[in-house]
Amino acid sequence: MPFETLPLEPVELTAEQAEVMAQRQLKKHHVAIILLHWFNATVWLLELATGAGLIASSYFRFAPDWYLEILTSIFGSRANMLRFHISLGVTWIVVFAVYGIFGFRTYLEMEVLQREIALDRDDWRWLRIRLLRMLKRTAEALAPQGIYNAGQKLFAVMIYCMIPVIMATGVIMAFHLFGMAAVRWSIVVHFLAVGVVVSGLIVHVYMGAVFPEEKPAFFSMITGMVNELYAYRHHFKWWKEVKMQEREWERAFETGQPPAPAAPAAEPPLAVQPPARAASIFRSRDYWPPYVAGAGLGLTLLATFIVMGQGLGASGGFTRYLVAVIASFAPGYAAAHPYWSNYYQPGQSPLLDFLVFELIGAAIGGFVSGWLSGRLRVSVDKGPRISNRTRYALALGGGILTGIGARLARGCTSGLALSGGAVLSAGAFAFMMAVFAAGFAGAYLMRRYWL
Amino acid sequence: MTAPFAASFSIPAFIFASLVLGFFFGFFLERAGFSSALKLTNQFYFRDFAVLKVMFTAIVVAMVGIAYLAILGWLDMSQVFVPPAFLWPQIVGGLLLGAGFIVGGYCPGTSVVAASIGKLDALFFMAGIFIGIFLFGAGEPAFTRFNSSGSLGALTLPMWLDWNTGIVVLAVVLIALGAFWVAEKCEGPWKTFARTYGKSLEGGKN
Repeated sequence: MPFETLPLEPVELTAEQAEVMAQRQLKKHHVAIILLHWFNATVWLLELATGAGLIASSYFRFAPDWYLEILTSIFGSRANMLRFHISLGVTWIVVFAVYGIFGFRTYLEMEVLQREIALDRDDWRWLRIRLLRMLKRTAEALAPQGIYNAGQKLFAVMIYCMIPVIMATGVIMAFHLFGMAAVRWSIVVHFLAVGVVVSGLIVHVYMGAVFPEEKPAFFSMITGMVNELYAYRHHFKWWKEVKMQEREWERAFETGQPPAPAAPAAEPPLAVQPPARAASIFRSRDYWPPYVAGAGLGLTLLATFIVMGQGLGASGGFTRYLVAVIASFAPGYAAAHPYWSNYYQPGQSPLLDFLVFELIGAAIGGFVSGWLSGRLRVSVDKGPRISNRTRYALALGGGILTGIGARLARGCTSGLALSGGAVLSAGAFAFMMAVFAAGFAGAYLMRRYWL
Repeated sequence: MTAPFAASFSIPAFIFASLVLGFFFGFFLERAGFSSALKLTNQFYFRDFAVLKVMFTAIVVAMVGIAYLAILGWLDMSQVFVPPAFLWPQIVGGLLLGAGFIVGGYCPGTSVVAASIGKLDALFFMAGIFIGIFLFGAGEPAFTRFNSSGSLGALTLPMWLDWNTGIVVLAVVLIALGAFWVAEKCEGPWKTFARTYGKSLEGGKN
């Protein structure tokens, strides 16, 4: 017996307890559920495969030609493929209808749905902590979970909402119900609802098939069993329920009394201390996780395209400042010069440009960010073995190389790689590869200056 | 009204919008840690993959957003500037910029942000950029031929591959996710590698 008394909250296990629990199996899924799951998975796979080939509108069609060719050679014709798609879909609806009607008392009871789908307070807490942990903002333990965790519940809610929509629109399309307008709308809604489910399915399949921590969940869909250690660590509230019931039966066996109806699990006392609040992320001294900062940068870039019709940049702004200086000393030279005249015509300021003001904004934005996080300091960034003067010389030399390279490429890491990449410019991707290639190659030569 | 909007802006509105967009540009660059030459160059020593992660995240977010807005017809792609492809100058330029990056520790945008929080080396780097651009511009008439070689117009990947734009977007997203996965996997083992890599200096042989 790993526990004398059942713990109300997850406690640290000793190695011995964990060992015993890892050996024991708990039953999680009924065989009917397992069969239904794999039937459902097969139907989804086939319906998605044929559905992708059935999208007729060139606007939405995403399947490549070779894929359509394979499908046509399998089914003979598009009409056959449509028949297959519809008959499989109808079979699917019938099976679920039977399941719904005959399994109503077992699987669709309010109490079961509440336990397996509805999100309670612990679930919301779990979601919040999960998210913060992914962002490395907290090390708080996850809230204990029932038979399904909050992520699985969210997926289930989505599925329960979307499946009737998919079924109804599918039937309308297949049998041309309610007139042409309804059919047309059904096409769009069908497509969108499937898209929503697929976005969840990607996570679902990844969690089941790839994510190592969830391996027992995947195998439980084959054997129906999970080991007790997994249940304890990942579905504590469910584990406790199962254990309490087990003890109830044991006691009944020993005393010869019929077991009392399963008592509701005692509510664990509310967390004694409120969860520690993460320090405001704007004043945090740490850099933001790269994905968060990257998403912010991406949204800024998107906004720039929407407002300005071009991306962010830097070296173009430098060029315009330089041309403005040249033109103020030697306007004739600048206007006549084959390169500078791209940026300067007499009577026109080279400074009236997005990039010129954007760079001022960038300096202010950087300053504010550094100020909020306490990073404002006059300092020099350098490797441990070089003097400040060496670092200045390298920075100047690197700057010269960068200036020449950026003008030759017609943009820098921001103006070409980032902005060009977002609009899928072929040159931008070639440029990006060259930058990384030279960077990695140069890193070896420069190692004594940085490491 | 379809985006982009800048053509209908008055000059003060245009300047204001530019400053605001630039503000967020600089803010997020600084937040990502790109105001530090050490953090930036650590990318090339496999110690910190932030440069790759931030760049690809930003590209993916903006690319997906642009693709959706273009499909919905809210963003008029004919009004959006797509950088023209000049294959050879862009590859050579990329090599030079990459070399400048690892020698100088910054790129143009990040040097501005670094200078704004007080990095003196970034000021030298910015001065270098001005010198480099001046050398390039003044000397450009001598190598115009090379500078305009490999011109392919505003070529995009969907045009080049002759694929549907949506497929290319999906492919770039998948490649980015793959790169993130590799980066997350590499950061651990490569740290060990980088430690030994750095050790070859201790002997003073190289």
